[in-house]
Amino acid sequence: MLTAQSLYKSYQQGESKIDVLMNINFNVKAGESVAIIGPSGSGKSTLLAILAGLETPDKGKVLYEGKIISEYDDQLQSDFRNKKIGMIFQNFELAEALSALENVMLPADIGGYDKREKAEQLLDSLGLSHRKKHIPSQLSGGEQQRVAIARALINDPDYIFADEPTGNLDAKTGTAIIKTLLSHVRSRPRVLVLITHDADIAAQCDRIIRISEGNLIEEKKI
Amino acid sequence: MKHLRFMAHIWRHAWRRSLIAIFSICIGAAALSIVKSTTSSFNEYFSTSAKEIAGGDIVLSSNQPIPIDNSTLNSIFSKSNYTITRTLETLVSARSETNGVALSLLVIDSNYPLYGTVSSRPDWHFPNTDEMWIAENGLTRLGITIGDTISIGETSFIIAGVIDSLPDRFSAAFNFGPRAVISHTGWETLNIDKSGSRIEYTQRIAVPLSSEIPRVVEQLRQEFPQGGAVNINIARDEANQLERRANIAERFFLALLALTVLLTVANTRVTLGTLLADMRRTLALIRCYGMSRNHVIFTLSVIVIGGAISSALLGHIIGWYTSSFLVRYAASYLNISLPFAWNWYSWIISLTLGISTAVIGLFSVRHELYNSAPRSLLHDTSISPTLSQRLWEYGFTITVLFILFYISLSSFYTALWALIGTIGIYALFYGIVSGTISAEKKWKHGPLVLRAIFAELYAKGIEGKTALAGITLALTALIAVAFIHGSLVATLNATQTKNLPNLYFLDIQTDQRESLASALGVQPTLFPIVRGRITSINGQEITLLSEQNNNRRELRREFNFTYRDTLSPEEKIVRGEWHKGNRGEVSVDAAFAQRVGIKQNDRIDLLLQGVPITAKVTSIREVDKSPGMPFFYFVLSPNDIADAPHTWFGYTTLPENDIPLAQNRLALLAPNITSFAASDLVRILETITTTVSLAVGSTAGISVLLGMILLIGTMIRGAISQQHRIALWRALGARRGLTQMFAFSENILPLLLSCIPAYLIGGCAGFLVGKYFLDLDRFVFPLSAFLIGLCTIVITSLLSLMLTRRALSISPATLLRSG
Repeated sequence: MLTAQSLYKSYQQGESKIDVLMNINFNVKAGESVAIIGPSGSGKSTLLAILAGLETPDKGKVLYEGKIISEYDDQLQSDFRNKKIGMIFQNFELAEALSALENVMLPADIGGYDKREKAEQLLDSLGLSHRKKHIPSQLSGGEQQRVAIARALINDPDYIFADEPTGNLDAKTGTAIIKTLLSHVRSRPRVLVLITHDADIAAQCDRIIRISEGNLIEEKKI
Repeated sequence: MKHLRFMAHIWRHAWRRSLIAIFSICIGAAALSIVKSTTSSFNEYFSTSAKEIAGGDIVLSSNQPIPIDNSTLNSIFSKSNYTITRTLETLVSARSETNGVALSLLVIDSNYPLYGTVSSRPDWHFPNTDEMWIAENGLTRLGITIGDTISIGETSFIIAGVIDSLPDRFSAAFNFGPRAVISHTGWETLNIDKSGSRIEYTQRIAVPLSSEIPRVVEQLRQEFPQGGAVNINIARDEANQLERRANIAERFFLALLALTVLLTVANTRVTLGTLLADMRRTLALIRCYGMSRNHVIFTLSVIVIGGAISSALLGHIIGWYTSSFLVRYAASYLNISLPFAWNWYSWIISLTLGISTAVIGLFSVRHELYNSAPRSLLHDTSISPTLSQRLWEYGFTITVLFILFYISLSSFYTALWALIGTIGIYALFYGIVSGTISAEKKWKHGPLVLRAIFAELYAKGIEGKTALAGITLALTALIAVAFIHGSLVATLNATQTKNLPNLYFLDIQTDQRESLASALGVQPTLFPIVRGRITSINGQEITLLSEQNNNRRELRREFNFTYRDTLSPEEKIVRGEWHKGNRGEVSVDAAFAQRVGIKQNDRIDLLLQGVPITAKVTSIREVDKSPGMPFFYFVLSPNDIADAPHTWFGYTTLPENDIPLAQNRLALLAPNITSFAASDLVRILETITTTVSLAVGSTAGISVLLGMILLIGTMIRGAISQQHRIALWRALGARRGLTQMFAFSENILPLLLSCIPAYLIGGCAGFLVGKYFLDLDRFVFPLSAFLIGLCTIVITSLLSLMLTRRALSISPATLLRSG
């Protein structure tokens, strides 16, 4: 279970303080997928960053199975992020110098594991067996995003966070990506939180959370 | 015009990224300017001061008194329109109350100097019989001051003043002993003009009408044929010889700077490529909105070439200003008055450097500009050049580089060898670096950090490898120079061990051998010496032979001949047979014989102290040339020259503390005998080698500086993408320590990759040069060699820490915000 309790976050921009999140509360059970939607600048990415442990809230807590990871030291936080969390970015964020296979293996390498075989299986399952040795600049957008998905799954994380995973893709590819992502996520009970502008994609998740101007204004079960 | 304004507006935002190229061109131009300007100062000095340097329009010299009198000269010179000064030079032992020293004594008459002036304190006057002028270092070493007295044998001289410089003494710093000047009457009171002594007699003649000089020389040659005891030199010839040596030194340093030029070109090319990549979208928009391709290329070219020319001119001014300091320093060190001249040619070289680098850089990016449709630029796909485009680019680069080298070196073959050498060695180092990175990249099971770093280096392509290859090559040169210098000094210092002599003697007369031994308290080892010249080999005059073959120029000088009837323990016959005791036999040193082309059974004509002798080369011998042990190129049979006027050369070993006392006793007993301690020789040689090493090392150091600029530029340019990589690693769960190690290693590893082969190859190169060219037998890796690598690593580490710290302070959430 992932629980967000009374999250507040603001940024300083020059002399003015901008409140990005105000009193966000919700939780997500294992096996649930949640879509966060809202207009640009509503705080979606900031919320995702806090949930993924990439950002610290000004106030409030994020609990993973009842534990407040942000109170741990950097080593434990990093280990948690490596083993328990899988991140998928809108711009794919693949390492340009590494091949597709090496990109998928990167989180495992960071954790000190050799998961070459698993990485190859993931790429095969995502239809990329013939592109393992290609570097990101040699892959199409859809292929890059599939590599990013494989990378997010390599350590078999409990929590997957995706920031507009189809934002840079055409509609048809985007739909295919989401289908692939959801099928992998649902292969065992995991938490999936994704940000999207696309109502159709949001409709494929179990719940939709709408955010506007830093406030959670609606929560809907599908 | 509006296009230029628009491009300049865009360039205003990119100027910081051009700093690398600007610095590189400045440094390259400054280095070339320093070498050219300094050399041209020396050449102008040689050219305008030829008469002062030579001491006259015509100079007659010999190791015996020159047999020409005034009536003969009057008959040669019409209307007696000449002035003559007679001088002699020798080494003598002088002593004060406390110290003794060997002096380089110049004996003059009242006509001296014919040209130029003597610079002295107080104002110069011709010395009285009992007066001596002496150089400042002579006062210091004797522990005396103006007005004090020194003795040569039993004759005393009062110090009249200090000589700062003599017009006909080009290189005071490299004389063996301090300079001293006395009159002929003063010299006669010494009574040390012994037969066979090492004295050089000269008669310098000033000829008012320079058109008369060839005729006069022709007539003098009838009196003194070529190859005889008397040499005839024209002032212009001596100046030409000095100019030639200066030009050789200039070419050597310019050839060393070939790598600097290459790195300047590489830096500019890389910078331009990066700038264009950054400006691609802007250029695509410009093209989309209607600017033609040719306009884009033209405008870009104007800005790039204009910028390169400005940088080159700025660098030239900096170099020119720097060389003014160098010239002033050289002038004071050498006690001469060096002009500092405006040299148009060096401006042309600097301009050519700027234009060449700009043109090469533009050529390397032309294919992208020319072949890209605006739409493809918007999609940010970089177009890799085809193989033929690459070959065109390399061919063009090599051609332009050759033109630049040719203009700088003024010699086709030197330019060609400099180009082949630089490109060849650079390609070798590029291959080593490239191969290492590729091999490491393929290594699947190594630590993650290393694999990731090598993947990044591989991905950087030419830029990263260019920086590494450049730094490796420059460090190799610097380390080789440091290694040779350290080994040279160690070898020189080894001469001061117990088993080698530490005190040497010159000009011992035959009847002084016993008194020398009693003055020293030990029996020195003695060798007979007869000074002489080679006049011909196998019937061919030596002047003709030396003109046919540069290696034989060495045969024109004076040699020290000795005679023995047995081989010494350090010698071994490799061809022929040792003397059978007959007349006309000579044994020649093997290395010397090979160098100048003397073979067994050659017939050599010699002139020894005025006595002509013909000797057949009966043997070639190898000599074990230990430092500090004398050896002779020619060893004659005793029957040839035992009766000829000769002196003795000797050596011995005394406790170091006893040497000054022994020298003093000797100076009193026999002032004609010159004694010098090995430590003095070592000191002089060390000074020379240190000066040369400093000059060569500084030149190589410029290349290291450029390589570092290239590497640091690569680091700074990569800092933003490195921050992104660090944020990604942190987002994927890498601990802070691991990320720090990755970031730091990514910056430092390329330099370490450069240092390892640099030390290995530099050390090997230094060893080979030391062993086979300089005959060294002590090899030492000096501290300076380690400091070179350490300094470059420390500087890069500090910069890396600054960049890394900044990167680590960025939250991984920036990855989400950057979306």
